[in-house]
Amino acid sequence: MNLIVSMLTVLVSSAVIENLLFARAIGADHILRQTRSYRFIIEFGLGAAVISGVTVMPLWWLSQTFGRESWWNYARSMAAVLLIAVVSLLLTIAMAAAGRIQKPMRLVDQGAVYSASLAVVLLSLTAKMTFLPSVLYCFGASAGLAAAMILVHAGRERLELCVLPRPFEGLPITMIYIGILSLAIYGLIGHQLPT
Amino acid sequence: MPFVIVPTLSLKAGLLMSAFLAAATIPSAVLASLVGRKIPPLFSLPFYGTVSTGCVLLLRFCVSGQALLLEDLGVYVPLAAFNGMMLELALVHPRRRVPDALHDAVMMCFGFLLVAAFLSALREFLGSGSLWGVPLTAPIRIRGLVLPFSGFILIGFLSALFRRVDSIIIGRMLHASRRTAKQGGDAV
Amino acid sequence: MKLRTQNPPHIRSRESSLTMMTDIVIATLPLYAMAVYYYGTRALLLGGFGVIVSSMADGACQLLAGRIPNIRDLSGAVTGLLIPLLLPASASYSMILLAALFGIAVAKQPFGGMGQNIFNPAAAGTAFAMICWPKSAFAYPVPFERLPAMVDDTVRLVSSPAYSLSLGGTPNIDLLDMLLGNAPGPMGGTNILVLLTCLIFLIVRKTVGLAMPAAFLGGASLMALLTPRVDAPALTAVAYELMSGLLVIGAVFLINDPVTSPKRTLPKIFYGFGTGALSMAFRHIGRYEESFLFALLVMNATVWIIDVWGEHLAHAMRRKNREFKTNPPVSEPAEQDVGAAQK
Repeated sequence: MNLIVSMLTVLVSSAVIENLLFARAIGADHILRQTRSYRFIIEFGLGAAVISGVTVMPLWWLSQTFGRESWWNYARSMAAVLLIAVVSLLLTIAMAAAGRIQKPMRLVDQGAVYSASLAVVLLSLTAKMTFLPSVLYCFGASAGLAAAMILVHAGRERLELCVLPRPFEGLPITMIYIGILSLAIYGLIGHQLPT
Repeated sequence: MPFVIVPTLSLKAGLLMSAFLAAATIPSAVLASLVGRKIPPLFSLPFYGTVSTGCVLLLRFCVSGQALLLEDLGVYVPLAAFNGMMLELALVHPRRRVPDALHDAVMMCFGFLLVAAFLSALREFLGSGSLWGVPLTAPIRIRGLVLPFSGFILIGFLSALFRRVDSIIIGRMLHASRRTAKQGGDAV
Repeated sequence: MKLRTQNPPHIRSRESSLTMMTDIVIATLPLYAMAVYYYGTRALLLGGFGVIVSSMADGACQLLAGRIPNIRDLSGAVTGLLIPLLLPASASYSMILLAALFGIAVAKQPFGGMGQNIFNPAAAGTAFAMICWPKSAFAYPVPFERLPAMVDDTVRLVSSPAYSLSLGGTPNIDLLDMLLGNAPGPMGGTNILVLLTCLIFLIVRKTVGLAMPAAFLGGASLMALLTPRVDAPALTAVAYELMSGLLVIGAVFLINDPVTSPKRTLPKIFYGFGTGALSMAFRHIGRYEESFLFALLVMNATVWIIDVWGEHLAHAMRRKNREFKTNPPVSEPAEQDVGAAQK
């Protein structure tokens, strides 16, 4: 029971309290660029969850082995980038073989998935948790990012119905909207998160 | 976007973040203009990601003496390798000639530097009551400015201000050109 | 046929946004009267300052947007009246100033002004003030200790019952005192009896409905019942949770904002219940002793999704109703009738 509670705590804190978009602004530029459906956001979240979840497994083991070395801070980032590249390539090939890809993802969207996965993996390793919480953190953070993007996308749909002052149309009002939501989430955090 | 919203809590941090972004963007943009067409699209993102990560880590090694600042920047340092400017110049619209790529990359990074410097100076002065680490007396202290939500809101207002100024300038230029065209027509 | 032209609207109701705002202003007056009774004339100064700053900010933003300022709709004044009620009576004027400016210039006017804002301006401005000055926002003067116009360090400030609850302890204040407002807390949030009277007034005037406040308090009560924070009988724990903090004043003034709440009845109930439950959840896991405003801002962002799903549900129910009326189900004849028919 304690294990389930602690796992749920990790999931909730990674998805809500340490939300990537509202607390760390990761994914903010992607939500501005993409104007497609909610389904695309869910696919983005799933992709980031799978890639980061699979990448963190060997990286966690490497952290345990080489974590005390002075060069590990540099090697960790490079290893994460290379592993994310390999995992995403394998995932793309697997999905293409299964006939699930109708057209290739745009490069900017791929870059956004890379960026989100890298952030999730590095944050998970920095938190210095055990193996299972690290993996759950990756899933929770990706799910939280997707949920935050859905909330912002819904807000943008609502904002299209408003008669906004012209200078605020588009990027400015979206940033203000995310800012007020970030202020609301801060009510949970109550302190500056470590970057 | 995240690099100008969260880590720009002090002027030093803002300038250092700009340096990391420049280190990630400029080499990748130049490399893309040299060898861009020879790399298959499937491998382009991993390739440029690895190159820019290497450049960022090299710069990190060079400034490793600034341990406190690097700790403040945290996860945004390796993330700088996948910034929007690098994706634009290396993947989406790579330039055909090296001078064009260099010019565009430098100008984009300079633009980011200006915005980051302004925002970080404002947040440090009004939020922390100092500038470049030197304590100063601010007219009002708003602690909320050092939190992420302030970064979002300040970027929104700054962007709206630039749009307004832009529309005024373009409006005046249009007005002037119409007047010139009308005077030219009258003369004919 | 003689046609007569006239400017719209052609179907007029006695209610308008001005009458609604006037009702809200009237409803806040008893709260200010009680605040003056407990804390002195400083309460009035804070309210007046809030109204002036909010109205001026509203007008200035409308001017900058190229519109004719219209402060007679009283929306800015309502924001200016509500913000001091959500803060302690010892709040500084700069806190009220920044809260009002944030509420109007960030949460209201960039979204298009009155009728188009997504977030409640009073809630957003007060939340901003709470984050910027957490120590001042959660330290309250003692009732019946008169406050000077400019508060200094000589004023005695104490914590509220909400703080005791956040630590898992039972507040050292009688429930009857909490009901009558004789407890430290937000300037307008402690007078539960007066607040309930204001709610009845607003319901009778048809400015607000009963669905949302009832669902909100129901959701908060249910969460308090299921996850009590104090070691006390269930109803006592629920009473302490409801009467501490900003829950009741939120139920009366903030959750009923017609602009930031859903349009149909069932979504309203869902929204109210969700806000109440989320407020209590934020109280459990949040860092601040009072998290209702943050929960309200999050729920304001979900109103669009709730409205869309409410419309889908309403259309589906209307379709089912129509199908039922056009093709009513044919009842199967009884066996006796069949037997009789065969004979």
